[in-house]
Amino acid sequence: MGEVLHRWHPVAAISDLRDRHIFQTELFGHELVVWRADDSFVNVWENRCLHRGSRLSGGVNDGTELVCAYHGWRYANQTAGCTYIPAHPADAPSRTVCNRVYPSLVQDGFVWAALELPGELPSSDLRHEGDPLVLRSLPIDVSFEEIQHYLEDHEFDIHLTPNSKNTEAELVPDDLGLFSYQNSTSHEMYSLRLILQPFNTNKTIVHGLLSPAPEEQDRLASLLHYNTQFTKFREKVESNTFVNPDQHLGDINRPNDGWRAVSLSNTNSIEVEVVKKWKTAVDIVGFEFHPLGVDLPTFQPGAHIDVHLANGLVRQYSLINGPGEQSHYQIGVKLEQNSRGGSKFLHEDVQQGDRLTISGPHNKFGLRRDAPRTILFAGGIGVTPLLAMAQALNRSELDFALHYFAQSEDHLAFQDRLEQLGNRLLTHIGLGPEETTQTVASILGSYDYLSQVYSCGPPQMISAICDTAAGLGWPTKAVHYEYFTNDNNIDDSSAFEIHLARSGVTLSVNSGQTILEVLRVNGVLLDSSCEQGACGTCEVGVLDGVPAHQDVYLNASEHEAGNRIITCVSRALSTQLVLDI
Amino acid sequence: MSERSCNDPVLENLWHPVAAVPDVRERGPIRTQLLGTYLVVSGPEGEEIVVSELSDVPSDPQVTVGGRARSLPVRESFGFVWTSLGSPPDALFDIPEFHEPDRWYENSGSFGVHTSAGRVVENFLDLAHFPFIHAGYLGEQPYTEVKEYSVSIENGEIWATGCEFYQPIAAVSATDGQVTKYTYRLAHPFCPLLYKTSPLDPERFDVIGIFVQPMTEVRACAHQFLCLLDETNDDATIKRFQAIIFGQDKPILENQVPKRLPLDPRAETPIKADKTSIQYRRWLTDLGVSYGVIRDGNKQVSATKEDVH
Repeated sequence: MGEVLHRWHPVAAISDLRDRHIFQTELFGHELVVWRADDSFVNVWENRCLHRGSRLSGGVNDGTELVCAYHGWRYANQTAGCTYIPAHPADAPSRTVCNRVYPSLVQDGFVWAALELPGELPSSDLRHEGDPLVLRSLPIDVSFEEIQHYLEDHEFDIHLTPNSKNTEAELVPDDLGLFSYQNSTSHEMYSLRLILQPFNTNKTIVHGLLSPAPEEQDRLASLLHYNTQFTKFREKVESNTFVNPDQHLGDINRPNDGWRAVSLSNTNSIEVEVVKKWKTAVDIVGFEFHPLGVDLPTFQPGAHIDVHLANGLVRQYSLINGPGEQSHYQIGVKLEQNSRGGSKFLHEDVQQGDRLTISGPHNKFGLRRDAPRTILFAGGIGVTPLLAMAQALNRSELDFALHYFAQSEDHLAFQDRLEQLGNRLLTHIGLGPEETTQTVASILGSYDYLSQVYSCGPPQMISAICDTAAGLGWPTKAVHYEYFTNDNNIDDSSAFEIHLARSGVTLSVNSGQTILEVLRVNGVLLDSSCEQGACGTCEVGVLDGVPAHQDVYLNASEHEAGNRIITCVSRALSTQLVLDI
Repeated sequence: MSERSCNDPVLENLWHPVAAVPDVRERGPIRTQLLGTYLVVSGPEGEEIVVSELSDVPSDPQVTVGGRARSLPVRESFGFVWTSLGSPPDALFDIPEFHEPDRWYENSGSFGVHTSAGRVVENFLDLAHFPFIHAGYLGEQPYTEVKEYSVSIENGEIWATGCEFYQPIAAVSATDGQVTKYTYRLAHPFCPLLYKTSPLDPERFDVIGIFVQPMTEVRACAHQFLCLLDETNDDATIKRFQAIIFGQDKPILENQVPKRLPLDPRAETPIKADKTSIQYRRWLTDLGVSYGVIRDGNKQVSATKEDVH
C-alpha cells in the first residue's frame, strides 16, 4: 500500500475541468478538489477548508482563487495559501494558513496526482503519434486490488473504429506495474490503455486512452463502442462483488502533516532569476522574477518584497501581480534622481538572466474588502501596490476607482494591466500640487462611511491627501497610505547614550550620527533597508528611556507606546535609551 | 447498520430533547434516535407522554410498535419532550424569559441534519458566516468583519457577550450601517441560545435557540425555539423565516469533514472570530464528552465511513 501512494494516478480528465468549474474526486479515500485557474494552471488540493473543514468543492472558482462557501476564505491559485479572511479584513492571514497541495501534472488528456511525492509518470510512453483519445471514464464499485484480477480475465472487444477488424486482444500489465494495460498489434499500430484511479476502498474509476486518436468522423463511434465495453465490464464486476459497507477509509484528520510544508525561515531568502526586464514608462522599468526550484510564497495585494542587490543594498518594491498570479513576481522600479545605488543599480546593472535574492512578501498595506467602494490614489511610481489592489478588486463585485496622477501619458506605467481596469482607471495628467489637492478633494467629497481610501506616492502627495480627507471629515480609519520614502526633515542634532541590554555595552550617539550607524561602527550588525525611517527593517525594542520618533513606519499609537524604535532616523528625548539588543 | 454504541456517560446522563410536544400530541407516536438508541415518543391528548427504548428495531422507519425494552425518564420543558438514557439531574437549565406572560412563544420546527450535534451548535454560535450563507437575511457582503467580543464561563455556562454584527443600510436616511448586538449563551452542550435586543423594547431581549438532539454521532435534529416580543408576525411567517435560515445552513453543515467535531485546537484553524467555538471545544473536552467528537488530534484518528458520507 505504501508504494502505491507514491504513484501517479489520473484524477480527472481535462474535459472535466470546465471554465470556472470545481471538480471533486477521491484518491484512496482522500477527497480532492481539482480546479483550473484562468491562467490554465490546474490545482489539486485537499477538498477541505482549513478553517472549519468545509468542502472547498462547494465554493467558488473565480479564475484566480478558490473561495470557501462557508466564510469566504480565499486560497491562491498554485500555492493554496490563504490570501484573505473576511472576518478580519485588516489582518493578513498567516503564511502557515496554506491548504494541502498534492503533486500533480497534466498529460495525455488527464490530470495526474499522487498522495505522496511520486516517481516517474508511468504513462510517459503513452503517446504514439499525436494526442490520444480520452475515453469516457467509468466508476466501478469494486476495490482497486480486486478490479485488477477482473481486468486480467476480461476480454475486451478492441478495435480502433467500428469498421476496423476485430483483433484478438491480450491485456497485459505494463512494465511499471498494475496501472496500465495495452493492446498493440503490429499491423494496426494502436493501443488501448486502461488506467485505474483508486477512488476509495470500494470504488475504482477506469480511465481509458485510445492512441492514436481515430479520425474525427470515427471518434463518436469509438467513444460509444468503448463506453458499451466498459459498461458491460462494470455490470460483470459489480454483479460478482460484495461491497462491505463498513470499511474504514484511512486517516483524514491529520492536523500536523495536513498542511503543505511551508518553511518560514526560507521565505526571507528566495533565489530568483530575472526573466524579463522592460521599460514600462519614463524612468520606470519592470522586472519579472521567476523562482529557482521553489514555489514563490503566497502574496496579498499591497505586499512588497525586499530585493537584495549585488552591491550589498536591500531595497523594497511592491508587487504589481494580480490575484492568483503566482508563478512569478513583477515589480516596477523608478530611477530616483538622488539614487543611493538601489534604483540606479537595478536600472543599469541588473539584466535579464541575472540571479537575485529576494524576501517573501510582507504586507503593511493590506486591502480591506468589506467596503462597497474603494478609492485608490496613486502618484507616479506609487501606483505599484495600488495596481495589485485594483486588479484584486476588479475580480470582485466591489466598486472601486484607481486615480493615477502622473506627469505625462508617457509616465503611466504598466499600460497592459491598466487597460484591463477599463473605466475603473482615471488618469490625472500633469497637475501641480494645488490642482492635485483640488482634484482629490472633489473625488473624495464629504465622508462616505461606505468607502475606504488608499494612497501611495510622493510624501507631499500622501500628506495632502490625508489632510484633505481629514478636512472633509474622513476618519483616519478609512484612509490608508504607504510611504515610499520618508520626507520628514530628520533632526539629528541631539546627542544621547544607548545601552544595549543584552550585551551590556553603552555607546554614545553624537549629533550627526544615527543609532544605526553607531551600532554598525561598534560591530553590531542590524539589517536595514531604506534608512529613511519608512521600511521598519532596522526596528529594535526599547526597554527604557523615551524615544524621539522621526520615522513614518510606526503608527501614532506605536509611537506613543514608546517600546520600539526605528534606529536609522529616530533618536532619544531622554539622556539614555536601553535597547533590546 | 452498525453504529458505535454511545459509551459516553456524560451525554447519557444529560437531558436531551427528542420531540416537540405538539408533534407528539397531534402526530401520534414518533420514532426517533438518541445517542444511537432507537426510541418511541408517544402520548395521545390527555395522557402522559411516554418515552420507550425500542429493543428490536423494525427496518421500516414508520413502524413505532415492536418490543419496548424500558421506559425512560421524561420531562416537558420549553415546549419539548426531554429524556435521558442514564440518570439525569433533577433540574434542566432555565430560560427565565420563557415564563414571561407577554411573550410570543413558538417551537418553530425540527430539522434533521446529517452531521454531529457539535457542528450544528458551532454553526449557531458563528457570526462570520452570515454574509456568505444568510446573505440578505442576517448579513450582506462585503460587511464581513467580526468585531472583538468577550467570552466567559459563568456557573458552568458559556456566555459570549458584546457580539456585534454589521448589517447593511437600514434606511435611506442612514448615515451609518446598523449594528445588531447579540449575546450567546450555552447552558447545555447542545442547547445554544441567542439574546438579541428586541425591536419593540430596547430593555428586553428576544430569545432564539436551538435544542440539538444527538441522534447518532453524525446525525442530529435541531429543534428550533423562539421566544419573542412580536406583535405583528404570524406563526407561518416566523416558521417560514426559520425554515429558510436553517435550509441555508443545512448543506454547509452536511459538507463539513469530518462530521464529528474535532476538539484538538490544531485539527482546524480557528481565528479570533471563533472565540466562542474555541471555548466550546475546550468545554466539551473538559466535560469529558467523547461521542460525536474527535478527542485526540495527535493520534491519527481513523475516520469512519460515516464521518465522510
